[in-house]
Amino acid sequence: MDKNQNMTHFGYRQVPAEQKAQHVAQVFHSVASRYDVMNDLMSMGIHRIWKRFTIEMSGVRKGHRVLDIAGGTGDLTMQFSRLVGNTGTVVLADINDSMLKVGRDRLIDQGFGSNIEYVQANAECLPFPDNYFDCITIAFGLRNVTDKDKALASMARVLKPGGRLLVLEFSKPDNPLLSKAYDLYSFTALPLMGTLIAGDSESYRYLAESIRMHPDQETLKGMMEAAGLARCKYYNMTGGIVALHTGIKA
Amino acid sequence: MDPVARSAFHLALERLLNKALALDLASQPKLRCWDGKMLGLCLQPPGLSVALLFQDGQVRVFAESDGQTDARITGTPLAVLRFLAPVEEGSITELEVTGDQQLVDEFRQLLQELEPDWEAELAQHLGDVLAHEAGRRIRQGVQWGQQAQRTLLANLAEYVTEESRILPPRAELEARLLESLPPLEQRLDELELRVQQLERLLRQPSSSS
Repeated sequence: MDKNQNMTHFGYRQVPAEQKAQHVAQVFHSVASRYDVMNDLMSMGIHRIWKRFTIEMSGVRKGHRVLDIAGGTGDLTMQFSRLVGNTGTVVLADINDSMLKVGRDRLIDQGFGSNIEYVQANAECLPFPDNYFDCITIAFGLRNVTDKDKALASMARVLKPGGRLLVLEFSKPDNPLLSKAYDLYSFTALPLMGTLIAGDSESYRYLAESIRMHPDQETLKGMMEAAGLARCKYYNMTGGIVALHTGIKA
Repeated sequence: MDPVARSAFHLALERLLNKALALDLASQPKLRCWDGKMLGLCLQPPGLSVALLFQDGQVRVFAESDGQTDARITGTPLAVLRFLAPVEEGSITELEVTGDQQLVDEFRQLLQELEPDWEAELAQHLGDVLAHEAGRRIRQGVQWGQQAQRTLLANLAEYVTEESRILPPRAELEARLLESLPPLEQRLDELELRVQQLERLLRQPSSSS
């Protein structure tokens, strides 16, 4: 975010910082109903493996309290709900009420419920006490947040000492050839799929642009360290197209 | 290993294990007894470690990290397979087992007694008649394969020992070994006496001094 002029990026566009959340909300209101189908199509199903790896690295066990920020349609919440059992809790939080509704309906339809709570919340000012969660995840959500540093600090605050933060997000491919192919795919195939499946190419153009504007692996790692997290590291997946960053609250 | 490949492998293994366990109703009560327990399997080489978490009558497969598991089995892939496989008699000495020995023993017993009802699963897709017929033919095929393997091994053993004489038959080998042992033993005794003699000579003071 450009603090001097109070402007920030929304894809490749510069918008006033206070308006970014509304722009992002509009995107997700538009794609909410087709979100899962589009995820499967765009990633050719690999997003399930990326999320699975996140679950494996979370170390979540029975009785834990987990926060799934930007949890959307509840892919991670569903897995965490099984892991924490009846003695644990999973909070599915999303700033967007359309996504939260789709996620809640999907989870209830599939028989989940007793250990899941739904909260509409902004990642920058999480409405939870200090030192509250054993694990926090934010999957494909951080790049949509207006002030990422503030959001990371907020997550660090509500994390218990020794608790783990996992940030799963698109990142920078480490191979130039893969990077070219990925750009071609992102700026031609994604908007086309958006038009054909979700009837909305602009939202998927924003997706491609927002990924390019997101901090690379090392920058995000530095941001997590600045937020007070220790032992920060990242794991590149699918050639760095996606990276999982992990950090522990000291 | 690449995280995506590793997680895909874990997912495939988890689905296979849970499918097999779901098709054997007898396994469910045992699984529920281990609720919350975690068993580590470490294959050395290639240095592949997985942790099996037992929860709600199912198995979840994770990457293993130190200190998480209740018990751990470490060994070569062949040794671990022989230890856990239903038909092979594995030897505990080939493996390193640490932690909850009872969990390891019970898990081994579960796998050895596992009898998934694949025919019932097949019947859901093909119908009872076709599934039964397919199951019968598969069982016949497996029996024929096992019989053919035994016959082939017996014929091969007979050829190398009796016809081509590349190797001696076991009885002949043992007889020759027994024949050659007493002289060898006698020579060893002689050698020992000779060594003792030399030691005594060394201990005696030299005549020149």
